[in-house]
Amino acid sequence: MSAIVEVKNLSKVFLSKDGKVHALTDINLAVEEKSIFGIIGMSGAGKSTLVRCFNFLERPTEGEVRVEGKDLSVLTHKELLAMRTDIGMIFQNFNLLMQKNVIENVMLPLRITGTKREDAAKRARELLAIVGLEEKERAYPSQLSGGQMQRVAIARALANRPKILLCDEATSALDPQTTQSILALLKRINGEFGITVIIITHEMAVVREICDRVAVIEKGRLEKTGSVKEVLGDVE
Amino acid sequence: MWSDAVIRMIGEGIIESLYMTAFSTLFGYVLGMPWGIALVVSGKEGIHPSALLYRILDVLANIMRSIPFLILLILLLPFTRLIVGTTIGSTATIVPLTISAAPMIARMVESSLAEVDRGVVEAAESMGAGVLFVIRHVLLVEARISLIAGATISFATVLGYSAMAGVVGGGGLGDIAIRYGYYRYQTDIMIVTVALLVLLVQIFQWLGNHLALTLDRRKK
Repeated sequence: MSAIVEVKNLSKVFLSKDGKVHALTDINLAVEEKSIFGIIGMSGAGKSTLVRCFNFLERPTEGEVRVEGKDLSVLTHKELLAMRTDIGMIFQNFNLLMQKNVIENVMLPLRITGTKREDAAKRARELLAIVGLEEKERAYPSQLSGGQMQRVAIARALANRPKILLCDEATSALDPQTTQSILALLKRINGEFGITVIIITHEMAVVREICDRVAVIEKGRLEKTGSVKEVLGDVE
Repeated sequence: MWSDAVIRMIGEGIIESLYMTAFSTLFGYVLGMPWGIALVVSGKEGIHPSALLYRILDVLANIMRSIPFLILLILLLPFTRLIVGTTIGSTATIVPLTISAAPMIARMVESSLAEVDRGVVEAAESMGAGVLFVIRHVLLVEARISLIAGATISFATVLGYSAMAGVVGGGGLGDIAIRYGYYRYQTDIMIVTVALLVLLVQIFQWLGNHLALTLDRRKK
């Protein structure tokens, strides 16, 4: 299997009032196509910055990010925007439009790619069926539970049939039971559609539950990478 | 005292005040809306930071906002004559009212858009949305309740300013209040016109609040 995301010698430095902050230092990793890859670390370790380098929401200070073999740094702005439609992303706080109903939220990325309204609505209904919320299409996010909101966000992230789904602490705001159901959904999406899932988390249990491979990040450096068993050991 | 002529004059005053306020607020938004959007977009935390553009728009808004309205009114007299052909009457008053409303509206729009959750903007960017898409489909949509509240405040403020233009023969209720109440000591007419101004502000504030409440999807 080939690597769908490849990171080489990546460093990210933020300039602040007190000087330079080294958020990430010399990161090297490869995520295999169609796998579920975990990146685990404590808060402030740099994992959110790292995942934002995968779609260039953050530009690395040094090093290279290749997605599907393409070096993101050489893309024009337009090409980068097009590339991002191939990479779905979900967040800890769901980040839905609170003034738009469920189906309009799911249709948002389809409007970016210029999909016709009827086709977009049809696709959005398919997606809502996949995440089990077909009855909620007219509801507003404020009427939904956290788990339901994350399902809407997942449907939205899948709208343009991406090859990669980035999950930034996607279950951290959810209770354990809802976390289980969201993880099961991610696993199903990975299996059924062959979407590579990259999970950023601080919860060991999340990694054990669904990841194939895992990278441990600490103070901006990659400590270990390997299979879940190698890296985290057996459950004691 | 309350002859038909006075009642007709006050009626016309109401219409003139609304005419000045409506058009000045409208033109104020034509200038202030893109100005406010540009402030947010070019700001440090914006979706397309540009220190130079932000600095220019920011300083310009500060300068224009610091000039007292009455002084601005007088400073703009030549400009008003150039555009409208006269400096007296309600149509002429629209010019300085618009110029003074625009930077205030720009700040209103800026603060409304700045309230939009950065995470939602980031989500749209992660989908491949460009700057214009984010403005139209994320910032303006998510901020609309706050924008309506801001528009209500702007309208009431412009109405207040329009009354001040009465000093230089600007027309409307303020003009009547100054001419009859101040110059001729007809306190009753002044009280009635002021009461009418209060009533107008109340009505528009109520309409604005009602509209914002009906359109807000965050509750229930």
